[in-house]
Amino acid sequence: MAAYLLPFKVISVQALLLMFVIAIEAVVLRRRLRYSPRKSVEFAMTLNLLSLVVGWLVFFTGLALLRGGSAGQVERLLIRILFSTGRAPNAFTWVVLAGFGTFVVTVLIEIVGFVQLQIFREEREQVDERYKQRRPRFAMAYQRGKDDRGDNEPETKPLTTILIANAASYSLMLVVLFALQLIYPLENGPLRIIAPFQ
Amino acid sequence: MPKIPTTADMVNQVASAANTSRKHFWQTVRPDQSFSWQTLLFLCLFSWLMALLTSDSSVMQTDPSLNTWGQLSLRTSPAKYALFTMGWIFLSLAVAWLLHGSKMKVPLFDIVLRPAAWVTAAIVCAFLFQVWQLNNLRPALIAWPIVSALFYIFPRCYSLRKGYYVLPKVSERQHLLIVALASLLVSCWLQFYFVVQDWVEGYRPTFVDLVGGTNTAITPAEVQVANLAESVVASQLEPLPIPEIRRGLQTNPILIDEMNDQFDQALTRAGNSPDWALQIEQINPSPLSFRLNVLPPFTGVPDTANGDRTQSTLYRTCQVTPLDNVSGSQLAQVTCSDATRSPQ
Repeated sequence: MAAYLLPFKVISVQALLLMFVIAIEAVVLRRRLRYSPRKSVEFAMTLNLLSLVVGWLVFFTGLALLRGGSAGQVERLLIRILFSTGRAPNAFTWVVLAGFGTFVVTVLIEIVGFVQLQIFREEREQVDERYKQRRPRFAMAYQRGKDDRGDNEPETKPLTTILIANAASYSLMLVVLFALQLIYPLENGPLRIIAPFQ
Repeated sequence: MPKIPTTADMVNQVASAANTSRKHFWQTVRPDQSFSWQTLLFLCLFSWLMALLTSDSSVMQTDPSLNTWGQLSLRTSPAKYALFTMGWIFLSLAVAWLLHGSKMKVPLFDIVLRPAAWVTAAIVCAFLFQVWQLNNLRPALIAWPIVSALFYIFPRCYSLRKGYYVLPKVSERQHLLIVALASLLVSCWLQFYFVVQDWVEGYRPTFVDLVGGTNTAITPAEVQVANLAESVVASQLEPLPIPEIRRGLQTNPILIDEMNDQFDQALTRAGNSPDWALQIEQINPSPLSFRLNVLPPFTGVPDTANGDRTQSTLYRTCQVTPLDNVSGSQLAQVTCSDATRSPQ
């Protein structure tokens, strides 16, 4: 008999978190870089979708690479983390470690993505032009405030902004996950996915 | 007083409704001008009709089962294959034309859907991956969002009037980038669904142990099933010499399959569900011992919060020793411990 598991909870929790994260990162981008509301939402959306897609691709590639060797252990651990009913003793440690890892990787992806997106939107030239005379060592890390605010405006740093935005969004994610754990009992929390589809 | 409709009235009504709907049907289907989507639809139907009429008698003679939709491949005659392919191309073009620019509004939410790219991509993927061969359903579903994103993006980067590629405006470009990334994400979610399906197939004991209570007492019915499993394994292994058993348990999946078949038969004979399964894990090479896992029927993760209970895996540790402890004897004896639930 075939059994179907719909990973509906994983996907819906991810979609929910994605919306929260886009909202809060857009706010940070808007306040620190003085982007227009539309532009900040577009940046936050593109960067987060990009990091999510890259993360999934890394996940699938990792599974495919592991398939030859120690796939069994890793996959069993993943099953225990994703589908456990709260009886997986080491799951929490792994979730926290994975959280730290994904934070670092996400920040790196979003930093690269930010510069590429500026080039894609043809806004990179403005930054380069501004620093034609006096090029700082890490040109891509600096950007002045909006023109109409005058040149006296202190320099804002997009890359620091992305770091701060991610810190904020990860904190929010943690809060949301804890709230979900409180709403559902641990037995049935957000990390235990799945409705049987029979 | 309301008039009660007579049978004749009802027949008249049905006839007139059929008449108007027929008129409406022909108004919709008959093209006003030759350059229209209806023409393409008729071309599609015509090619399929021709494909049906085209004989590929040589193939039919060798193997009649090849001449089915499921086996459509390059082994069908080239003319038929070409006609069939052209039919699909015409169909996807017709649907793309029909749905071009159409919008669907989701009630209650202020969301506007444009189904053109999705539907066209579904038709194209169905043909490209030949979904009527069910093995190909998986890549087809994973590719579907990506292909539909391509169908959405391509017309916006290509000017039909000028006949060359144009770079869209910055705001448009940003929009297209988000569309592409979002559909990649949907594709990743579909892929994840299939990965989970693979896990369910491959790690049945893990899933069953996750949801089953390990501390509940073993029922007499379960003991009976475990005894059946043991007797099947013993009857399969005992005629063999010990080195062969060792090799068989390590490398020979046919041996395990055969045991499972025997086990299924024994279960049906004893009036149990044949969905129980056997698994064997070697613990110790000498003296040869193995763990016999008896997996209960798995039908999905139950909702433990609502009091669902499932049976979990039973384990028995078995030892293979030479018969009568005579060192020269090559015949084996299988002795097993009582069934437990805990993996150790």
